[in-house]
Amino acid sequence: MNTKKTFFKPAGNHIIFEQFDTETVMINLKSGHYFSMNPSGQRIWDLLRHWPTLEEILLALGPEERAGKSGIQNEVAAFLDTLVEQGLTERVPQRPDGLPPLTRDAAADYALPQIQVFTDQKELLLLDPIHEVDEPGWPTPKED
Amino acid sequence: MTVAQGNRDNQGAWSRRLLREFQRARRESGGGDLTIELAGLEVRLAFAQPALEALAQRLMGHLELAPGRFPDLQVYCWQGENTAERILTGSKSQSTQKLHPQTRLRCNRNGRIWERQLARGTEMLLDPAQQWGLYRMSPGPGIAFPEQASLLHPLLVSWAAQRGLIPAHAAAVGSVGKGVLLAGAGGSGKTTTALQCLLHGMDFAGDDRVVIQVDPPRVWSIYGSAKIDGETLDLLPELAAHVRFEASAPREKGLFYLNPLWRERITRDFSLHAIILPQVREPWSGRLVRVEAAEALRTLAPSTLLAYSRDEAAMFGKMAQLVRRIPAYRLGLGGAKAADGAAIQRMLQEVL
Repeated sequence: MNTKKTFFKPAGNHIIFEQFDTETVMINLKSGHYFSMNPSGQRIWDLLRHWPTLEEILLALGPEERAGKSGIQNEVAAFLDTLVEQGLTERVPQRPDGLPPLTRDAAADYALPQIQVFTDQKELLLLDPIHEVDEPGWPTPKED
Repeated sequence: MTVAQGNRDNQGAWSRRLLREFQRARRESGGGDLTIELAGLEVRLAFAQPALEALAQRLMGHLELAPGRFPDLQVYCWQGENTAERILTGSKSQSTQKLHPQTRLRCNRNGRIWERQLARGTEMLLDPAQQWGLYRMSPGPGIAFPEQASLLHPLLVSWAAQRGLIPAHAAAVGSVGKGVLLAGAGGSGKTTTALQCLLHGMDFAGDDRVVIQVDPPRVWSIYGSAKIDGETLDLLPELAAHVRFEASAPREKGLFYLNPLWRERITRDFSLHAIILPQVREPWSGRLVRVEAAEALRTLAPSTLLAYSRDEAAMFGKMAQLVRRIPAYRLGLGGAKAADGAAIQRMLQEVL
């Protein structure tokens, strides 16, 4: 196990998403928020299955000399903050061993990762909560 | 007896109890059957109250079929008291009084689905393998507004989803067997656009609840009704005499049944050729503006998934397949009052 670092991992399976050439559409089924992510954000999202640190993400996004630039660091960190705030990503102190290593795309262009948050369906979700009932919860008939 | 056996017995006892209640209600109150074609399959609806049968005719008469020998689904529907003595959520016993009034309780075991929707006052059991379902509504007075607009909806959409279809939050209009889906959140202009198209000669398959098949793309009607508010009615005064408003909300909750008036204009299904995204708050566009598939998914999926709330990942994937198969267009309506029905009808005809 790695320790004393912050790792980023995708939140649970309440997050569903679909990738298109120009946009990733994502829904957080717990919050009712949904999202549009640009391809640069999508690239970072893809990296999260490796449970990376911020530094590892920066290195994976392109040449090492570019990863050290504070502007890019701030932009990626802000993007990750939004993912965490929206319940799409979690910060964890450890990651399991055996995850596949990140690969660096040294030739990749960098673009500002962006995510647009839509909250107009939240009310619908909160008004209509679902309770999945365990097997013992099947209704019990009243006695005749 | 094992826990699993006990639960199966419990389920069986409860199902038999409900069926006996239906039979007793039918003996006391009467009521008949309506056989419909839903998503290409035969569904036989048995009612234990004449008013329910009449409501089903108003909502689904356009889907009526001559009964065959073996329906794909048999549904028993009645109004009666709650028969369950307890509800357990998770590991804790919890009475329904402690839950949010809009809560839905659901249990899916051994392939059978039980669901209670507190706001609708309904309880359902669907057994897809045995091809039957039970649907109990809270006793009157009258029939609750959600049922008047979409009788049996929780059960019918659960069944459709079990068969790989998408119960969608969308409207559908078209002509000569070809149609478009009108997708958008509540208040986006779906109903206004659909009714404008109807008044300008197009056929109608649904106002905001339809069933979609992805391959090949097809939309199926469930209800020949439209929910309409006072503002929309101001725009379509020719419908005023036919709209029933809920007494408690005379400008907000109105219902318009197409079956008594325009049964020949309500179609059971269309082949699906485009997705239209009406935008009531955008300026009048005067044309359909092609948009990316992602935008169509972003518009169609959230309200559909959040309203249906089951098998979301699979349903989302199917909707993604659909938006990749057919084109999508945005339509700025310029406010409900500015919408030009004749122009909308001409634009939609061009993509059919």
